[in-house]
Amino acid sequence: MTDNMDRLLFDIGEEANAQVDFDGMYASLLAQKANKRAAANRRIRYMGMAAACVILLGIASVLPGGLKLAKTESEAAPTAEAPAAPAPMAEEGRMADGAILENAVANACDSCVEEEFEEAVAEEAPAEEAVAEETAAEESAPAAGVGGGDACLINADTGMFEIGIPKEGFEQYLKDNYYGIIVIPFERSGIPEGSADISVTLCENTAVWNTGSGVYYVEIKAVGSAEEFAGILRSACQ
Amino acid sequence: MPQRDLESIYTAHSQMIYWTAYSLLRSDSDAKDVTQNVFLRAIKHMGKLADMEDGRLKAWLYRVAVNLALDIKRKQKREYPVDELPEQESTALYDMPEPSVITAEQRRMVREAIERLPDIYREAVMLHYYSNMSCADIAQLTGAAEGTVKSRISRARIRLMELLKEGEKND
Repeated sequence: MTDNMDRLLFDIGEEANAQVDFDGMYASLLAQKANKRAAANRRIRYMGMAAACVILLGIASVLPGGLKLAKTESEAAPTAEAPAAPAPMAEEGRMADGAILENAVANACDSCVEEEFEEAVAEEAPAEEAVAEETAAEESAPAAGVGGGDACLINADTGMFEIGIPKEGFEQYLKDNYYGIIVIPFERSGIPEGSADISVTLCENTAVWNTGSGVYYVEIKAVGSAEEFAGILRSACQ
Repeated sequence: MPQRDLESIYTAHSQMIYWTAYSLLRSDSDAKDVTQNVFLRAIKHMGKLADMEDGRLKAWLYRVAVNLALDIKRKQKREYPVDELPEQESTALYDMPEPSVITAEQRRMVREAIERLPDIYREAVMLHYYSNMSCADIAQLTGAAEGTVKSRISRARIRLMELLKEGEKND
């Protein structure tokens, strides 16, 4: 009797599996992965274009003054055709400001572009630093947490951020103050050995969060860096 | 990330993930969404997962699937039966026929009955009969004792046999 029931149920299982398009799901998965990579590459291009535009605007804003300063330095007296120029010291100040602006924009945009590039590359290449950090955190973390007792760390692709220990009401605080957060407590039991018991997903970055004082799965819908997210979470911690 | 790694992981574990999600949500579209999202997360962590021992990898995938399914369940606020199946003190002997003589209608009844089982029984049945996992593997995955898994499958099987018997009487 049991054997026949087993056979029937296995048959039913086979029929059920035949009705599920696992191949189609896999194809869709690959397409989503390709789309994410293309979107990341587009962001890098647009950031680069935006940075170039800002730099060009910065240069354009100082260029007439710059040309006039060169003429003033190289010629003994201004010619009649030359338009009236502001004082050289003022022009140097404007050039210096422009240079500072240009450098600041370039540096800021370089770091933005670099961060976006790292995010895109991280999808393809193993994130060795993140793995090494996570491995080190897991190896050094006692069951109760890491970093001096129960301190929580967010281990994102762009660095390790300590945020403290979630206090009571942490879940509600996030829901009240940060639109788009989904906080789902999940059971501590059944979590694979060595894995963190809280998983934090931040936009395109997935962070693994080691703690001994709570179990939450948090998904951020809005765009933000891991550092910004860590700052938000710190206010909800002890 | 070599596509081959994703493919091998998908081939080995997609059934388990899908039926885990389905057992909680009882919806093909929701189960597919969960399956997709599990593997999208796996892609992000592929550097770590590729070297992970099989048991840990499976447990990681299972846990993510359960969490995502619970996420959907909470958002939908569906009510699901949480009762236990009564333990059968004596197995009423039912002359279970060969599967080949079971009609399509009876098979449909059994499938529907599986879907109406309480969560923990449905999960055990689907992981065992739909995903071809052993009771020991299911126990390791879910954190339950192997004996508990076997008991759940046994009770579910008896319940399904009763349904088949009732169905024959009504014919």
